[in-house]
Amino acid sequence: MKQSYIYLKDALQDTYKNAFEKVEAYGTTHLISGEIQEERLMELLDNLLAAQKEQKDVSAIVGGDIDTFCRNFYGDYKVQDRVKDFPKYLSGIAWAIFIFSIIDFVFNFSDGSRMSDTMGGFTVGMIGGCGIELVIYLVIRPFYLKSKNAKLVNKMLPIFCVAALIITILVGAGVTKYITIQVPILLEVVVSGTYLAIYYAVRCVLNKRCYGTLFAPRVEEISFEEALNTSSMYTMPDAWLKGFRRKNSRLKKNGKPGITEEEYLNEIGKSINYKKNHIINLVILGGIGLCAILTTAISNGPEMLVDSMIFALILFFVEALVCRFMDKIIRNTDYVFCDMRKKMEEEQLSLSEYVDRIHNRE
Amino acid sequence: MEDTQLMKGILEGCVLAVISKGETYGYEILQELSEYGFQDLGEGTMYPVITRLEKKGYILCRKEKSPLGPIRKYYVISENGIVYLNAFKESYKRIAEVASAILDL
Repeated sequence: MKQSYIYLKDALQDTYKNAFEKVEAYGTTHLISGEIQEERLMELLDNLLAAQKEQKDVSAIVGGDIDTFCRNFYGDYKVQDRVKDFPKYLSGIAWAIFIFSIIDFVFNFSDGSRMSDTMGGFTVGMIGGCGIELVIYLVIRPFYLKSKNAKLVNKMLPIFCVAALIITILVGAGVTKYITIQVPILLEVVVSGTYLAIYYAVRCVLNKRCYGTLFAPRVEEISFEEALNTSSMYTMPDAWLKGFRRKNSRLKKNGKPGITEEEYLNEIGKSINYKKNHIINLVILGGIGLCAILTTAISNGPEMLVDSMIFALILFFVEALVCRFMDKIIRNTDYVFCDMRKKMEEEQLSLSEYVDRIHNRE
Repeated sequence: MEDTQLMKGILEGCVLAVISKGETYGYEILQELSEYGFQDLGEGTMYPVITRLEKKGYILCRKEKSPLGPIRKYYVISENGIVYLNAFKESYKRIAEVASAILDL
């Protein structure tokens, strides 16, 4: 998954992390494409980690003035580069139209008319998507330039994008009642399929020129899981230490005796037990899924058995993905905790000493 | 303080010269240039230079996971890069001779 640097940056210490987040916020507020951001920031992250390891000052990498650094860092990225990314975004939309049109054509969901209202929603989606980018640029950028609070900008952006997406969908749903452009489904399949064929043909030609092969060489990537695991090694012990201090502070305020680190860690260990959480996860998701399927089957009746079965299949697939994702998080948390406990025992470290050790703050 | 325009003119050739010594990566290039005496390279000027060299085909890049976690880009000079570097060295020598004479250095 792209943007895995978002999780890897947790390995950076304070001044390095601040500098990195400022560069990240600059790229975001200046609409640098995600692919360029990923590549440049990954390289910057590697350089910062190398400098941190050798205990060099952060200015050895980003200089004395972060704004000057950012202007030079992204200096060669021009508006025309942004335009070059557009066909790639369009290919994602084309895939969505192509797949849904094929399903619609095969299963004839449009009541036999073989016409689709997709174009109305598609047009609103396109305009909405461009609108999101423009609003980001107009609203977020001056805020960043004024506040210089990079951490807040980086956190605000995903929230803003989700909110904008919801508004676009609601507006689109409302507008398509009045602006419905009906087209034959076959035409949607042909147009989107043709676009995809041309897009990938051009990509193959460019790859051949650049790499000598039709496909770009496979690059070793950091998976989302790996990046999350790396981040967890730093963020979870931090969170547990903060939790321990907060708990003792609360107990003290209420006039109760505090708990020891050992007691706190034993409580954490019981709550994140993998087997127990895995079973709870399966029971909850399985229960929700079963209720949804039964409710749908009963309300649809026997005459719509095929629709109910398709719904059950889709729900099962989605739940399996969610279950797998939740399972990975539970397993990772369990692993980080056990690893931390083992190292603390081996090196006779307290929780705060361990956290300082992993952040090289000794 | 080093003149920015002067730096921009020679940085491309200097970065290419460092890469020509053997496969290397961003931080190593920064370190080596710094050891030679280039100040203010931390202002981010190196990154677009490397991107330009790659786009022109003077350097080749491969990606590999670094020991520190992120994906690291390793650079080597290409055949075209060697030709360009030799031409750059000739041009620099000629210009430096003329400039030295004019500036009475």
